[in-house]
Amino acid sequence: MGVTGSGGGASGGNTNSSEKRSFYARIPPLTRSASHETRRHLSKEYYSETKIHTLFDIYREPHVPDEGLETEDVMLTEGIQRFCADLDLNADDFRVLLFAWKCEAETMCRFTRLEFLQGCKAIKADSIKTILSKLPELQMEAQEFDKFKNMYKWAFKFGLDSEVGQRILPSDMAILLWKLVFEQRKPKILDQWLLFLGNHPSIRGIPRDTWNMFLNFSETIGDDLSTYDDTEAWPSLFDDFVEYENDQLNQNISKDPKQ
Amino acid sequence: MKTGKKEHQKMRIRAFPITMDERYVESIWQLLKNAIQEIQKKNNSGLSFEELYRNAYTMVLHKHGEKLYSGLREVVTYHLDSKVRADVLASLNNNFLQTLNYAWNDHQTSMVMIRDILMYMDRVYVHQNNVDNVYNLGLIIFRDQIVRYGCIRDHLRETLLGLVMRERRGEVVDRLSIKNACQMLLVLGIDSRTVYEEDFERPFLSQSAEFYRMESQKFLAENSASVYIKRVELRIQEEADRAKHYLDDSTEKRIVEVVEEELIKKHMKTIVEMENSGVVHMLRNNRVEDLACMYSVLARVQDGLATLAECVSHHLREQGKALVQEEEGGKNAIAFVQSLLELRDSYDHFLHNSFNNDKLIKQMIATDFEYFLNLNSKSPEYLSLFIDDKLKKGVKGMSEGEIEVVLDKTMVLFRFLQEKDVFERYYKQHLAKRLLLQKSVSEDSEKTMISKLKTECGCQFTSKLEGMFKDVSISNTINNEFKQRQAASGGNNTVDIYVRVLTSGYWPTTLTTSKTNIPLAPHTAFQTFRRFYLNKHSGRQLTLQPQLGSADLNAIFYGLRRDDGSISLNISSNVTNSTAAASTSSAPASAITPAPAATAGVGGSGGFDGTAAAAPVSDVGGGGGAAAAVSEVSGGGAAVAVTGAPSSVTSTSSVASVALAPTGTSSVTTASVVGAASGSNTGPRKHIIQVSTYQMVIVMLFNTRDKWTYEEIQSETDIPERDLLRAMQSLALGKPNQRVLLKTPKTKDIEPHHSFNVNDSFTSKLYRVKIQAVAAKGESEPERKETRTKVDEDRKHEIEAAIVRIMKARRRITHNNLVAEVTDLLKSRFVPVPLLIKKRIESLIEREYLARTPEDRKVYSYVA
Repeated sequence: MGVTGSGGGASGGNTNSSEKRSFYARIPPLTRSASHETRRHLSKEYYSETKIHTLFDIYREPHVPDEGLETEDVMLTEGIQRFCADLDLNADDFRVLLFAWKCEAETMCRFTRLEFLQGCKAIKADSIKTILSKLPELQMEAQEFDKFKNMYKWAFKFGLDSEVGQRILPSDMAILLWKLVFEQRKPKILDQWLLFLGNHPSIRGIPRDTWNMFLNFSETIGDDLSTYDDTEAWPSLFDDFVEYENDQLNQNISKDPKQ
Repeated sequence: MKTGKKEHQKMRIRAFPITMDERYVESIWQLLKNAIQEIQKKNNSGLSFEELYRNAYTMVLHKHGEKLYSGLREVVTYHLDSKVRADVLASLNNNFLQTLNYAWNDHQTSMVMIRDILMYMDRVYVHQNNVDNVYNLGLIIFRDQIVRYGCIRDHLRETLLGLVMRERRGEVVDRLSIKNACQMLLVLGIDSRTVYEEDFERPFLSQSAEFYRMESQKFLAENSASVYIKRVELRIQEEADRAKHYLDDSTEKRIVEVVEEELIKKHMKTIVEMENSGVVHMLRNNRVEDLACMYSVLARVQDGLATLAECVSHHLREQGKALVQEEEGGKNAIAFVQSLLELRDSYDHFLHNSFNNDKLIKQMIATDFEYFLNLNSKSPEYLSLFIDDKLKKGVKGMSEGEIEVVLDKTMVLFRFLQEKDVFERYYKQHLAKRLLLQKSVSEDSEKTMISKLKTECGCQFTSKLEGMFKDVSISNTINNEFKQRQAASGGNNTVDIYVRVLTSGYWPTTLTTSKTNIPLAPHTAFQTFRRFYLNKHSGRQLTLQPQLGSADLNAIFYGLRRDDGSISLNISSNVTNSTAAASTSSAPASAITPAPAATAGVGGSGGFDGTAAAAPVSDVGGGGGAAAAVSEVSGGGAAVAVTGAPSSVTSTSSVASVALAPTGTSSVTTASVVGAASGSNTGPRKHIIQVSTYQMVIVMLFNTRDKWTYEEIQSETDIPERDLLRAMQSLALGKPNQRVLLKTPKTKDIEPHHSFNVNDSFTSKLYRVKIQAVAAKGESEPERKETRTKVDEDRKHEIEAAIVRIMKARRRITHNNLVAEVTDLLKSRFVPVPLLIKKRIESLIEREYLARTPEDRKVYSYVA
């Protein structure tokens, strides 16, 4: 999953799945006290905020005492890899993405404590086991179109490398992310689209608008490119795509004289 | 007739009106019947109208109208049936029409009389019973019994048609009888044209159609469009006349339509496209009249003009395409535009003289010109070069008035240009050269041209151009002031410098600040000016722009020794190397200044004339920084761009750049004598050479050394590669009488290791020698690409600006409307491709100036 290529740099991501397990021992007292309040919710889906904090601490980026610097209260690539391993999932598993979505994670390969807390609370889980048990529900939830759309839009921001101030998703990242996001509802046009992107390295990347519009595009167009109208308000990359596909098609039918 | 009896009866009628019996009625009828028959036999002289009228009156009064009416019908029918028809039938093959006409006239006459007698019946019986009146009854009977009687009907039709045919073939026919017959048919129709139509017109029209169908084939076989259309015109005229003269007027329209249909409409494409005589042929051979004829013929039918226009358009496009076709190595811009102007003139001529200024055709010509003018992407450049040529000093021998006419015509082409922004860019470049090198033929002409552009495109288009003029005149003032100051301070500036301060942004300055090493003398002169200028306008920045400057140099060539015979071979040994030093002298005026002559070598009097454009150093900085570019001087003008905020300048856009045209004399140099000049017959020759700033820099190098390689020159001067090459070419490879430098080896190309030395045997009849720049007509390919890139870059900004402007006004707008409005807003400058607009919209969305509305992704809203 796109979760590779963490904060380290846009391109140089680890290609392997990562797990998270780095534990950060510090438990902020404030949040802890807050967690007690949540106990009041006597839903049968009971969860403990303390446990969530404890869980988070397992994977937290360790404090390095040598450098006087305060390390951030976050879970990074290594921690996430351990976390995934404990869940017995690949880091690029769709379900991991769903979990990150629930956390409303800002960026890949990085969970802040707050995000993690929010995610766990959202799915009412406080341990590896409970998280695992909630994943099927999450998958169900993502079937609903509105939820899916929400997740789809979130995924763009998630994919950006915020450390270098990216505003445009690099093509390779976009391709990975698209594959992942559409795991449960793959549009007919997706393979062609991704192939097109792969074949055109000169494309500088996917801006947010193009990302968002692709969902509309895939739904409007189905797999019939002939209905595409380039005078409509589609991002120009779709124009290029449709033109490219049509050219391909024409070449197959009659050896295009130009070639 | 038995008048007496009648009297009797009358008396009795009056006495016993009611008791009138059948017998009596019968006798009255007999009386009337006899009278009618007499009338028909034309024996009417003895009849008493009064008596007959009374009898008829009596019958009608006593309700015997019907008897009278049907009796009349019988009598008339009998007469026509037994008598008249026989006559007509007898004459079928002889005088048929006349006979018929007589019969018709007689019948009419008798019917008039009968009607008069039976007037009371018309008034009462006919009226009450709603039947045909007496006269019409007569017509109907005549129609049925005579005119439409079997063979008469056919014969009449055949005869009439036959006559028309004969006349069409050129025979003379009795038009009157045709006319009478037609009139008769018309009258017989009573209140309608049906009889005429059925018995004559319809067959006539279909026969005519058939005739012209055949004729068109015959005409076409002759294969000449011009002959064909003339015949058509003639035929139409003939038919119209015929209808007017002896058919019914209403037939004119119909028959003309038939002819038009058969002769024109069905064949218009064939005629128009006829090879060797069709429209193309006429256009090629300037057959104005034939075209006019073609026009008027085709204008008659629907789609005729469209067919004509299409053909003209096709040909015009072919011609136009051929003209704008790019040739190997580029086209001559002047010839290019000239040929288009001529094409335009010739089509204008056709339009006025052949096509009646037809709107459709006018429109079409405009569209076609727009089409092919824009096929060649260099059109904007060529157009500007053409105007440049007309506005530049030279031996054109054209008066200002004539120039104006040409410029007006050029504006017509300009209007067709889609990429007006590209034109603007070139125009600016060319105008800059004219202004800085003082090549304009007249300021008035320049200004007229600007005002034409302004009218066409608005003041936004020309504001920068006008700014250029302003810079020039301000520079004049500044330089005068500077000179006075110099004179007053008694400074011993050896270089007479003239600087033009150019506002950056107005002028086509290059952004790359050139580090060209200007020789000391001119450089000093410039620094003096710079101090002077900055003193006046503190906060500005002056940058030297050497590309457009020029210089006058005093040069001394020591010549060859004549004795040495072998001139050509021994050049090098016999040459005195003279170097040119640039000195600024008061511009062109100053000849060689005596002073520095002492030093051997060439004293250059460098007057520079215009110089360079200034590049703004800092693009307009915010807060009212003004950048002045100064072009420098001595030798060459370099331009300096000044930035800074002059206190007085408030607007941010006021960036001044200065072009310096320095002139200066001074100095210079060492001459190194290589060969012994002793004994030469030809003593040293002095010349003033006029060169560009770059060339000045180069030539002055030779004051310090005899020989320089290209590489060395390059590293010494820091002149940009392209400019250096060009400068060297004109110094060493130009016209033989302008070669100030000699190159070894003597090849066409310049390689880095090639070396140069002064051509001491340089001779010229002229004292003042202008080194012509290597003619570069138009831009070279890389330059053109550069221009293109700049234009594209500018367009991005313009499109974005347009989008933002529209969005500010509209707040929300659909994609398609936005694209349409942007296109509309920019069309006076260029035609933006929708894709380009789309990309700009995307970019603005990305930068969060716009957003898609959540409800409809095709609608954008403005994010303030």
